[in-house]
Amino acid sequence: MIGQQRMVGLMALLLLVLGTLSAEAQSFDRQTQVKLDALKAEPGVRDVQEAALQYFSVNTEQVNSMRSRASWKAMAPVVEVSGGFVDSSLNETTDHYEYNFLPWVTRGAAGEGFDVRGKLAWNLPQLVFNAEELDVASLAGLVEGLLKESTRLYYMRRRLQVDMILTPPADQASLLTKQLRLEELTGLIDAMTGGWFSQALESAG
Amino acid sequence: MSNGHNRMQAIDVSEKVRLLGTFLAAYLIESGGFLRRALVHASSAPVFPRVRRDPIVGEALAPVCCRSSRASRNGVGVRRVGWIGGMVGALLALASPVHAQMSLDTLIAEAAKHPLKAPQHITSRRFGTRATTLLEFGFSPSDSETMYLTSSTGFVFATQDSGTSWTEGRLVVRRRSFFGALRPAIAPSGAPFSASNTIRSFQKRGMLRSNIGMAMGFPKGNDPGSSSSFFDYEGSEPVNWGALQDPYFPTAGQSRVQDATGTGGQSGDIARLGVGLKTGAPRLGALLKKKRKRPAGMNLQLLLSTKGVEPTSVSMVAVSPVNPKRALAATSMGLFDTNDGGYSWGNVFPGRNARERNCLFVSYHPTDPEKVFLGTQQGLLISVDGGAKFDRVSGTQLSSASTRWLEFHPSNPDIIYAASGIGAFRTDDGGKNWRWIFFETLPSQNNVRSIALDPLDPDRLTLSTGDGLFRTSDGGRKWERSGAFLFTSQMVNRVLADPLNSNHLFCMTWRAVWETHDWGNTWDAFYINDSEWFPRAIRWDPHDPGVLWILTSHELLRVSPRGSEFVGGGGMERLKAHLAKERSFGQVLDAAFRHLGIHRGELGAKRARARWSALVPRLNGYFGIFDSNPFGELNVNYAPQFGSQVQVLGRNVESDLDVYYGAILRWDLTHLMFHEEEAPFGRYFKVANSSYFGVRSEIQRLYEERVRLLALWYGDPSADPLLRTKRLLRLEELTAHLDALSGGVYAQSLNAILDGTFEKESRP
Repeated sequence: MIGQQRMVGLMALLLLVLGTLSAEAQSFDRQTQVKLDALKAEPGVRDVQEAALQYFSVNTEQVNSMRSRASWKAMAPVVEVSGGFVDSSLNETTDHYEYNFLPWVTRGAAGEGFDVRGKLAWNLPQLVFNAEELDVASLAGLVEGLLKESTRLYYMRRRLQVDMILTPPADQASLLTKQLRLEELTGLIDAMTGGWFSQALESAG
Repeated sequence: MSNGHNRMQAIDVSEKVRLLGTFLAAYLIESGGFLRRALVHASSAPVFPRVRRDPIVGEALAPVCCRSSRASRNGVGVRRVGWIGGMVGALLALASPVHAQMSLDTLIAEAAKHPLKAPQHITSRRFGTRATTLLEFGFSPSDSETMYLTSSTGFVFATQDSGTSWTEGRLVVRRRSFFGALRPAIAPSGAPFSASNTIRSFQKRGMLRSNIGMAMGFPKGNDPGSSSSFFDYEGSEPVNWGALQDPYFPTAGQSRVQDATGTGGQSGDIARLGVGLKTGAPRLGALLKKKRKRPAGMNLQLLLSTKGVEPTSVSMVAVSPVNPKRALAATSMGLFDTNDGGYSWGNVFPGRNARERNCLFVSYHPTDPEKVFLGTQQGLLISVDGGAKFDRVSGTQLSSASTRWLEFHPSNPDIIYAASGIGAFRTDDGGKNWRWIFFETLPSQNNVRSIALDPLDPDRLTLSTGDGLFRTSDGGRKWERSGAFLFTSQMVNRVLADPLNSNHLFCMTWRAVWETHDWGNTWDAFYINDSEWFPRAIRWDPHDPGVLWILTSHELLRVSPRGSEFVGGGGMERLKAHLAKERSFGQVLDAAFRHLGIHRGELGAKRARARWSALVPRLNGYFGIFDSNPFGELNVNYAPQFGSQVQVLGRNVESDLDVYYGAILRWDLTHLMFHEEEAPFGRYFKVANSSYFGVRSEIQRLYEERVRLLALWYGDPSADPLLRTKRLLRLEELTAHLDALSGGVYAQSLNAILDGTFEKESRP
């Protein structure tokens, strides 16, 4: 009985050791893990996506705002104002030559005036339906393209970073190539975010 | 073969005629579009079953083979009955569906007597490459994990982990900016571009459309003739970045960006841009000499006229036999090389003229890494210094013929066959001397696309041509069709031999990959593509015998007889449990459409309101203010003796401010009958519809790839940490992308990946 208990205990210990070894085999060494964890301090993919959309003025709030304003724009009228000022003077002289004493008549009129005219036009049917709301949908193509490119660039860069940590280049030429590529990808993300990405990297340390 | 033959003889003559008629009908149908579809839908679904895939993991569930028995009995029947009977039978079969159905039933019964072949399993290995038309792929002979993928837009993707993750490099060639001369005539050498080809290239890539009516449209979609056209190209707009566009090539022949030759063979070539600097070349040469650099071998004029970022199609990639990071890429703008695994590429051979610049094929010698064979539109070139310098083969027509393929005999690599636009050639001394072994008078038959060699007998080979397959067993003295009429008049782009089995071949046609186990006597459909993608290349895995790779224009498929990686361990259950927690594909699509404002239901509801807007009037209000101050007088002088005038009348009018206002209501009741925005057409619809299709395609691509990746994740939990990290990173990318497109549907999943809980919980 005691032998059986000892056997069970030994087997449990063996399993524990094997399990520990297996767990060790499936993880990275501490130094590598620290480097990998350090990447988490960099801006996240959501931040990059949002920055790109914002830079191109098509983030969710901006698009929703455009759509909303398109639907309510009929509440505002088209205003037309015109006006004028008149200053007029008319003098007329009439001579009667039939008589020697030459009677005459003069007549004059003068005056000034101004008017202001206004017109307001509400296209109220647009409150029910405004095709421009549909036009905002065309931004979906732009949004989709931006999301695709920003996400792709972000993870190409991240994969390269992980690759350089997990399988460090053995020679200087490979290292230089990968560093250049990293710079290129950083620059491309910068171009999509108006320089925000580099600033965020700097502030993240 | 003999069993089938005997059974064939047992059928009476009238049945033979009917059978033959069916064969010919099938052939006609195979070569003609709607007829083929008609037959497939009408009667032959069991005969040509498509590859069925599990909707979740993309695995083939059924044997991929199709028991098409037409070719086998076809060959025998044709020889015995002859053309006249065949034609009569064909007419009978076409005229009478009943006869055709009867014959097909007989054929199906015949085919069913054969044993089923072993199932093949297909997995897609294209993870994370951008949407572009794929053209070719190549393995590293020295590293089983390294592969390269080429595309029609200059991108070359490389993987060092058998396709789990891909890096991206781009071959770039750009004409020099225009600086001064429009040349009405074609320059004998120099700039590689012509205006017409450039414009055509833009049009193909969706950057330039001729439909002025769509000038304000957004350039989404990929059909040059579609309503989503636009005229002005603004390169700074991300939607116009070529990388985001999925080039659309309706036919295989159009797969190249047409900036290759610049020879002006096509119409409209009236101007050449960016030639110039003829005087610059000598100056640069002198400068190089002064700096003690050697300009030898450099085409300075070309160097000065090319630079930049113009995408070019990459026809072929060859990986060094000894260094997986070194590869050569044959492109329409010359030969490029990389020494860093595809991160950066340099032009090593620009060609001495436009035709030579158009490289179609490149290969290292199987045993000599310094020897490189380069097939161009103008002949075959060989380098003996690893690609630094090329010499044209001499003393043969191959020196100027468009060379598309070279096949080295596996047991004696000095025996090489070349496929060219003027037939096939053979050399027995590693490329020094070539002899013509195949020539036909029909240009389509002369257009040899590839070659398959018997691994044991160098005299036994099969050619794929623009007009079917041809085979010889005596080194080319006598040729016959392979597959009888099955491939007649069909372009067979590739034929591939099994290095372990002389009689086992594959070939690739427009939509399908075919397989034979008897050296072409009978062919079975091996893979039929039911999407708009079409097969591009097929290759055996050099490191894993029995594994075949098929490249379609958008997928890289690994076909293995040994089942999938998705095995055991409760992976399927865990995958299903995971997927059950997430939204379905339809729900994700719906959410994305709503988030992006292109939901058809919502847009439709908006449109439905258009008609009723007529009930609401247009309101015009007006107002005015008027003020005046007039004055008038009348003077009369009627008594001159008094010498003075008399004012007889004076008038002075003063007014206050006059104000007026009013309103006009205007109902356009005609819109109650019909509103032009009510119907789904017009500019708004075109734009929204284009976005709709683009988003749908993107969501589908991401969703499917994500599910495949999840299947790998759960099905292969014992993968090493490096592989798991790469997979996890890709999963994170796909999830983040889907999350952003769908407005947060995957927020929980993405958070779980980012904070590490997914990895912990998904482990068995």
